[in-house]
Amino acid sequence: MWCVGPVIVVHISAIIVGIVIGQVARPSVSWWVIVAGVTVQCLTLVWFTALGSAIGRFTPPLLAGVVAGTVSFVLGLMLGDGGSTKEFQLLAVGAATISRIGYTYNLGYLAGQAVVLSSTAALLTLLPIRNRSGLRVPSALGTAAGGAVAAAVILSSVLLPSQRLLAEPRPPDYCVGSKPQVCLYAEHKRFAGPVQTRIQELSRFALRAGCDGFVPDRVVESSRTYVAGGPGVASITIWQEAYETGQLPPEAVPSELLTPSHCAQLTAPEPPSAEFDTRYFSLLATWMSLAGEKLEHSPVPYRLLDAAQVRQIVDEFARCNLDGRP
Amino acid sequence: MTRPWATRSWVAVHPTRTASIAIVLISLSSVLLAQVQVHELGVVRLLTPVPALLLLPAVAGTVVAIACENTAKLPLPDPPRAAFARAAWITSWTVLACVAVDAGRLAGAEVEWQASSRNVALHASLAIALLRLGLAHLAWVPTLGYMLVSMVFGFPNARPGYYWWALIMERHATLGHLIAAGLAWTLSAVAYVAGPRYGRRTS
Repeated sequence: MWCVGPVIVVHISAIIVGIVIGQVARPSVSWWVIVAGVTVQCLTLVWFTALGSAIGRFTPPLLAGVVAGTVSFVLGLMLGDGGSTKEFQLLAVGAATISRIGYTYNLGYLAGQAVVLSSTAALLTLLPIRNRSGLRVPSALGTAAGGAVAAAVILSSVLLPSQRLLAEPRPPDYCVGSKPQVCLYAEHKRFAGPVQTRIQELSRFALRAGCDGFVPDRVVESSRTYVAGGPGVASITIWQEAYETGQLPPEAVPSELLTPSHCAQLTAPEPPSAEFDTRYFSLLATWMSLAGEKLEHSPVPYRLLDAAQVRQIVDEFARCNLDGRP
Repeated sequence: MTRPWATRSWVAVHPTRTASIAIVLISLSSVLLAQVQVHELGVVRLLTPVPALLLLPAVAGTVVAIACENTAKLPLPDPPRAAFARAAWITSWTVLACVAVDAGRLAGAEVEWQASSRNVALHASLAIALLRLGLAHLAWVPTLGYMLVSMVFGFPNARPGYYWWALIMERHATLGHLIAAGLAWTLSAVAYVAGPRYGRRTS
């Protein structure tokens, strides 16, 4: 079991490096909640080691590795993050390709994982064996322990909480600048400079052309569970490309500022009408054209708008009147 | 002419029983998993659902290497007929592994035998490389590792299709795939046949 120690050290080091590179000094959830999440991840490493140790005791040495690896792969598919989201998953330790800001861990879920992982890992480690006609088989006590592990894994999926993450819709509190003020989550403060520079650049061109309707009073970053909106308030989400490349695509900021993300119609099963698309892409093309840029891709034909039309559509979007019907 | 005692000795110094049990289990798994497709790995949604029978060769290829481990590790003479025996041994186990993975076709699996055999050959070549290094007990590391890396990183976001090196994920085996897999297997088999890792060659 000693070999899990270095693996845990590598795992925790990788997390610390990520936090340092990401400049996360003040996360949206408490450090203690993060420590709890990482502790469960480390317990999962211990659990897999205990499982490998148990398999190694009953399997010929040459075959033990491939058997343990295959069993772990299958268990990971069945009980891990890719499994059911409607019930407790013992080996779900979190993974995401998009931001998870706006959620916090369900401490009941983590506690359940910690208890089941620790107890079953202890049983797997201590699983006694006996030799029978040259074959290594579990003793009576070992059979009972193996049954207890299986029962604990199966029962936990029924009895323990089903939601690993809970919604925590809080606004961002790292704010810079004025007219417009830009508020981002502290985890993303490294993007504050590029976002603010781009907004000021676009605002300058809009104001010079008299299209002040484009310029919001506040720009507020959205999380997975919180979206700001309404008159004078625009929401923004940091695009995936920015995380990958460190650069904001040119069209990202105007696209985000003009999208009325706070309106329920955008997340409803029925997509908004074609008229919304035309109005949205006309707004976007107009703003980019004022900045001397061209909208490269538009799924619908658009028209360039004058200042009064811009003001009208922006106000209607703020009130969630997306297609401009009276 | 091969004498029966020579065959028995050869079988005895290799983990024949262990590998045979593994091949039987792979055949059973192939039948049980004939209709199973893997859609995602953790939160990573795969480019296309991958039949389990294209993943099973990672285990089958490892078993080929395990079967070829000479557990005696004695510095015995290594006459040419021993090299022929090794060639026949590795070829037989590779064919057995291909047949075992393909057993799922009896249960209606719609996986091309060329594609599953291509994967067995590629995984076996990786596993045999570890065997040549004297690390047969770790032969599963490159095979399962290659499978996982291909599943998670084998396709670009910008365009459909897999990278050339993630060919084990392709449902269809092209002529190029078969040549590449055959070449990889031949190279590793030649390395295996060329001489035992353990023991002093005395002839």
